[in-house]
Amino acid sequence: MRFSIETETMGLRRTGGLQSTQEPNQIRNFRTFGREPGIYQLTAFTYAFFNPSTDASARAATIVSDMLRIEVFPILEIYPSDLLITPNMKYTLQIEGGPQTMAKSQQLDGSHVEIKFAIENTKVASIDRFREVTGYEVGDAVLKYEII
Amino acid sequence: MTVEVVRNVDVEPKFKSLYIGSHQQTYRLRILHGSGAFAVTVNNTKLVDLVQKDRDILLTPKELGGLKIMVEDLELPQSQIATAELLISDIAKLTLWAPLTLIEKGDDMILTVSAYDAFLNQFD
Repeated sequence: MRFSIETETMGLRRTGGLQSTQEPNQIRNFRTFGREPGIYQLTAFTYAFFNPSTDASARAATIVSDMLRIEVFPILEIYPSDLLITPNMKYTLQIEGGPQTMAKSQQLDGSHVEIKFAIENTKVASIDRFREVTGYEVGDAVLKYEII
Repeated sequence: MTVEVVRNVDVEPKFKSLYIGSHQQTYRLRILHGSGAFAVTVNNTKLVDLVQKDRDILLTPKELGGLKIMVEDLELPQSQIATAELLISDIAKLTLWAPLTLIEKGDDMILTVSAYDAFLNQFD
């Protein structure tokens, strides 16, 4: 069996943004690499078997999988990279990048993609789910974020 | 005089789906138990090339279709004949699976393609 993967973006064949290459010695597995942000539609295909000696006029039919939609989103960046505030001051962080089509940011298992923020030293500052940072007392705190 | 009691001849696997396109590949069924002397027959010789070597049955698909493989124990004539079913099929369905539908630029993941026979059993 030989399989291939075709990638389309908005009806155009485009393999550069999401590139899939077959894993060595694994005919079923393809490593796909997100090079450029965008929404990509992928299908796997192969050719049906035919015997050229008995079906000389026939051509092998193409067998195509259902379409799989994958979004490559820009690298998430938070601004500012360093924040200086005074006690009781509030500041809302700005986000650039991350998943773009939030309404459709649903994974195959039904879970949603979210950006999780956390400040370990909550005596110094805290952050809420609206990305608003509040300062409490003088000190340093590290804010961590991850896409979950 | 010694009396040896052995289990009835058996064959594994009982069902196997082979891809018709793998006509240059040989698939092996294994004969289990019994006396050690066997006769192997199929109900349609057009579909496969069959070679028996001791307890191995080597099959090479030739044509589409289903067939039954029968293993008879030659030294135990009253024992039951062991059978296995073989389906030689083309790919009827393909699926493409990804662990995620969202990835960050610069990340990668493994996509998996699966092929299914005419009865939607997955090919190995």
